Amino acid sequence: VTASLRTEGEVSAGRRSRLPDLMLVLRYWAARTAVPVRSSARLVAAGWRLLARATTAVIMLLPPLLRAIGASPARPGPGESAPAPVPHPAPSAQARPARVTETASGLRITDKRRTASAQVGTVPAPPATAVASPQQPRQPGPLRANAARLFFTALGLLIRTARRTPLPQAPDACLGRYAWQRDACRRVLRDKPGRPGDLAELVDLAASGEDGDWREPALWWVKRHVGPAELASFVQAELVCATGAVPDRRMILLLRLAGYAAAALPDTDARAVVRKALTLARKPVDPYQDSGLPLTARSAVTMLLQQRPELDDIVTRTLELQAGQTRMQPGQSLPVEARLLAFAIRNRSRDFGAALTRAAASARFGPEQMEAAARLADALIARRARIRQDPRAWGSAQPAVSAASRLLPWLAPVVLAAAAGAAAHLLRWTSPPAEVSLGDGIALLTLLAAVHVFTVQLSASRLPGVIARSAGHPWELFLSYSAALTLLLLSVFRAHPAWQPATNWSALTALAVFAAGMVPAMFRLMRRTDAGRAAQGYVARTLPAARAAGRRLGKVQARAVEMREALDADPGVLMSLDAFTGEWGEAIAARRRGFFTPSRSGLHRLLAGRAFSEGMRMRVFAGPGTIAEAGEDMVSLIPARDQTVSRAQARQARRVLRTRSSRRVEDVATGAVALTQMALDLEKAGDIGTASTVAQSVVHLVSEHLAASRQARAQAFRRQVQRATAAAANLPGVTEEDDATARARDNSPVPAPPALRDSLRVAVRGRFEGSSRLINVPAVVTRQLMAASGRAESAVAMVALSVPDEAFHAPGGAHSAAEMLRIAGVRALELRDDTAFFQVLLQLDKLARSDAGCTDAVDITAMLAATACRFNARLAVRAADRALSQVTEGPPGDTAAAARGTYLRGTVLWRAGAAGLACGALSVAVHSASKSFELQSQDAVRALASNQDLVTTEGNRSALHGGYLGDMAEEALARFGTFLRDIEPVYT
Amino acid sequence: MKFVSDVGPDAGYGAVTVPHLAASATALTELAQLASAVPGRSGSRVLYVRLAHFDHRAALSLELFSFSVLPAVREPVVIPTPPGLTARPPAAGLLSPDHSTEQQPLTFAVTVNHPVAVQVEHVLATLAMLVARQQLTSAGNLSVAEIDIQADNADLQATAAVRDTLRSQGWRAAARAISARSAAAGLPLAVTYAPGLAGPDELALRAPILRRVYNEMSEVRLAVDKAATVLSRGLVTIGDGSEQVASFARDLLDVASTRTYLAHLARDAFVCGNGYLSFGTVADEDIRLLQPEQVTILGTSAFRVDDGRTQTVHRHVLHMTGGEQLNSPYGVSVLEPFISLQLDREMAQLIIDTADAWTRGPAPEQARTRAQENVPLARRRLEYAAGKITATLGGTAHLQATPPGDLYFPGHELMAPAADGLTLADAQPGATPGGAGG
Repeated sequence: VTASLRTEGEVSAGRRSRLPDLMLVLRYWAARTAVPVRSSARLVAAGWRLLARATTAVIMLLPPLLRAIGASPARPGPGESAPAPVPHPAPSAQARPARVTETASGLRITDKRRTASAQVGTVPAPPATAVASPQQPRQPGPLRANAARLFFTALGLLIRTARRTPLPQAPDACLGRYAWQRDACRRVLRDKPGRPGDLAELVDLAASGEDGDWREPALWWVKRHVGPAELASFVQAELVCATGAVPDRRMILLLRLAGYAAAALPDTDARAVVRKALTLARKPVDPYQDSGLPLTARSAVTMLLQQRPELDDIVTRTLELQAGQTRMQPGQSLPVEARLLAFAIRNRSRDFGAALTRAAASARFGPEQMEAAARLADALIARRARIRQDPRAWGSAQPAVSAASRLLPWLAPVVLAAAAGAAAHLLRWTSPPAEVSLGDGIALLTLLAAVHVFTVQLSASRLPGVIARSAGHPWELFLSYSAALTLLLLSVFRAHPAWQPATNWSALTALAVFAAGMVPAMFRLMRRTDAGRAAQGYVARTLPAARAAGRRLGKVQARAVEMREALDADPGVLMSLDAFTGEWGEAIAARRRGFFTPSRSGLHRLLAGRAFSEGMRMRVFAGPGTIAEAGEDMVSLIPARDQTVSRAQARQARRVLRTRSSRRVEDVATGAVALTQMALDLEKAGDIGTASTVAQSVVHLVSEHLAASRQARAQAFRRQVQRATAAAANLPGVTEEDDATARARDNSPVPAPPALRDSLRVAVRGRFEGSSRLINVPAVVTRQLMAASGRAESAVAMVALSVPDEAFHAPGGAHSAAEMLRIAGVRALELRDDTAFFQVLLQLDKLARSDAGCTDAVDITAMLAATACRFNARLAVRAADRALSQVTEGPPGDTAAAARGTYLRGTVLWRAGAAGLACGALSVAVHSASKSFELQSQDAVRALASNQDLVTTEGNRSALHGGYLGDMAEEALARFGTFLRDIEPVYT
Repeated sequence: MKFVSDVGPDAGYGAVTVPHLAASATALTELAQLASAVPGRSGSRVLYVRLAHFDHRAALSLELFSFSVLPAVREPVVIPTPPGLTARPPAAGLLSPDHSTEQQPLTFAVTVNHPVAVQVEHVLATLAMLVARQQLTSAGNLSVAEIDIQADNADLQATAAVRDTLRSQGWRAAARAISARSAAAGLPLAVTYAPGLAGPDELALRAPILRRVYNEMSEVRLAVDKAATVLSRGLVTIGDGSEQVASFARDLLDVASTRTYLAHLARDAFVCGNGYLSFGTVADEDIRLLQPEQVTILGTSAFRVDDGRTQTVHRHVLHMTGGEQLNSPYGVSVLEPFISLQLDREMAQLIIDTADAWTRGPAPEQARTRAQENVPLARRRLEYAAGKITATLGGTAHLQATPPGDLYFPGHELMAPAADGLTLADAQPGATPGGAGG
């Protein structure tokens, strides 16, 4: 805080100046206003690009037109000679340009026949456009040449501005010239289908690299516009049947094309290409030099193997030839061929590790090589975590609509009464037959109040106070109140005789509105004595307030993160967990309960004071952003030995170290807790349907509250980044990375939202008191609340730590604890929060140490290991190991315990291994296999895999617990036994 | 080392933010002014010290608060071969602290991630220890065989004095006290603060030295390899769009050996301070690393490589830094704290080898006795270096990662070109200034 308002000038001068502060503020506001300006600039740029695109399209249409009317496109580009023919190291058979011969008499003979692929090696041919301009253009004059250069440069610039395809790395003039003079290039730049000869010409152009680098646009165009059959015959002619040496650059292009045409290549050609590419792939790579050829060859082999599993035998045969007499030793590196096969396997449909085990057998892999190959073959790709956000009926206009809907019941009767009065006056209506007196108005108001109080009391006798209070306020009631008050006002008001009929009509209208509101209000109030409707009514009524409280909480959280960093940065501030008893200092207590959010500027002034520069220090033991109780010590001022804390300093500190009301945020927490408890009570009473309705209400309330806080927090972080960027403008060494760090801060923990923390705690505790059904309210609430929170809110840790230790030792409690930990673990995996996941595993370890919970703990840890196969293979392996370590042997001689241990270990390995095979996490499957052989459990696992009943049961369990074995659960479970048999030579 | 501030188990290590940087720069500038002394008497030897910031980004121990950086000299130093030993190739020279000048001051790199109070306390302690040690060597009653024990005692006394002053009177008083003590001892401190640690020339000069540290220190090599493993193999693909696009990204990492290139890049960054991976026009074909000492950064997207024969400008370059320094786009090596330890080890090993050779072979009795007297000191230094290496590496040494055999391309397991040895050198005209960052 102190430093953020100082700039480099101050740093070097060591004194404060107001001017840099002003500059900082100006820079900050400039950065904020730049955001809308930037979007306008983007709009202008998009318009300009459209215009350039249209102009370019028109210009590119000109060359064929000019040619049609007799002027060569090479000429109007006027004066510039056509691009030099590209060096043509290996001729192209496919789409070969026509050969033109000129006889002595001047007769031009065009040979339009395609040259046979077998003969192409010997007949070089120039590119099509070079042929298309039969005469050498005469040497242009300097003026004409300059004009041409200018034209081509302008055209190149235009193409670059209007780009819709990848562009070559070439000077603008070169780009313009090629676009003007070469049909094939023009088609590439316009993203148009090719004509015969284009492919050969482009490959030649890209391989030559003399007039710029055309590889990227050429390959991009080939992928989009050249069919597999054409590519296959081109590859056959140029790569498979090529007899001479092919230059590296051309070979790279041909290998890429072979990869694109992998599916269409005839079998013999595909085999020839794989063999050729394998030879090149084995070349060593020097990371500090160009090594494009071996890298591209490896890529080509992988693509071919991926699409053509029948080519695996080339690799396995090569591996067999390389393999020694004995198994590979530790430290021996994996052959290139095996690596490429592993890469190819992961993009194929699941073969449950069959190809990998075949390769392992051929190459005589040892355990180390097997694990390395399996790691390379891991196919898992995790999805980004989804954070639940309830859809809003009115989208971004929802806050405005909510505010309007709250005001409308109060305004509507007044507006309607006024409208009725105005209409009566303008239309000169006579007075209505009935008039409403003051006594009538009071009687109506009294009736309304009586009904209101009665129904609220009825609600309060059945529902928690906080719910009953809000449930007793339907909008119809406010409508009636407003109408009654309007009526009262009109009765009291003595109007001018000319206005009397209008006033009476107004009063009558108000009476009608009163009646229209009163009856539905009564019905609704009666309905809301039912818990489900009361909960929905409570949430509907408090949602706007919950969102507002969420926004406030988000700002407090963001400020807390900033404040903590700022306090850390000041040498005069000490942070500690608690006050030091008996320390010589002046404690500063909170005036009232609320969030501890010191004033930024006030703190700056306090710490910049003379007392602090002379040695005073400040010990902060209240966490910024946490709720401090009234009268609770938050900070102490520690004077230096020769100092005392003056009253003025203590007063200033009290003023600066303020708390801000947390009432609204705590109101949301109170409501959420009351609803959660109500849902639990209803479930306990057997009213499952209403319990579910109430549970949905609490989830809706808390998730909206959290979403608002997250949004406000992100916005506050962005502001902080802008402020920091403004402050860093003169501070050397602060780069965009720091900004990125700031943006990523939403992953770091923030003070816990009370509503989430309290309702999760109640739900988790409720799990140990309520029913033990598989689908139960606490589990649903916990799962959905966690789905509504991200890493910053630390919901997983809250759940894991809320599980009471005493539950681990109770027979029913242990099962419930395991279930809650499973829910938390799965969410940790979804959020990719390794720390939280290990926290869950730690709790499961504790559970496993109890007699009652050992089996459940092992079971759930194994399930988490299986689930982790979809997210992170490393975590899956760690979880499987943890599950194995949780299995206890029992006392020596206890055969039943030993058998149980063997069974549990077998189950863990079977489940994790099958999940690995099902999800493509082969490293987990191989690890499970390795552990099976290490623990001598291979027979037990095979027995499990061959038992159809057990396979069916396990498959059903997977389906009930998030489908950790995927959609081919039973096949995966059965195939793990086969996998274990196939992999046996590696481990025995 | 704990002084006054309670830093907790993570030593108060945290992310660097703009306010933190500014606060730290302000405090160190003020500290430098307060700790500097005016030479009060004739014959005073000024101790030139420069404070600079350093951010190792948690690659080293979180308890590494500061360390000294010895400037490198440009010309290789030919070490006289003791009789009985085989001749050694010229070594890379590092300037001794005794030879610090205004142009080549001794640099203290201060880890910027700690709370400012902690930074200040450690700088004060380091300055106090420097004065105490220089006072010890100037006194002339030094026993070479027990020099380390005497130095430790001097350090203890100096830090105790600093701690007392810090507790009772605050850091400003402690800085003034150090200044007064240094002036009284005839070793006035001239302390300056400049945020940057080393410029591109200095970095290029240090690259072979740092590669030697990597090649020779197996513990350091393992830690760097573990970090490179985590950074290259730990990359996972997370998809949100179609599975095909996500698998394409994953295959680009693996099939095109991008992970291996990334491992080399991380190693270059950790060891040399900067790693450059050029992707060229077609990323999976033109990919290659740039030798860090040949690169000049021209801008955010342009990097010039001068290999002595040609100059090439590369674009599409991934620039990775090991440690961060302020005021410079260049990073610094996280192995900087190990250079002095490697120097210590090589000098200690030379003492032991010499004593061995002179014990086995013919040598004058006096020389042999003197050589043998120094052997316990050399062994203590080796032991100290081993402990210090482990302590400085911190958590990186315990990373849960096993570097695979194919982490680097075959034939590139050790780094080249590396220095053939390290030794202390006297001041040379050709030596570069201690850092261009200032």
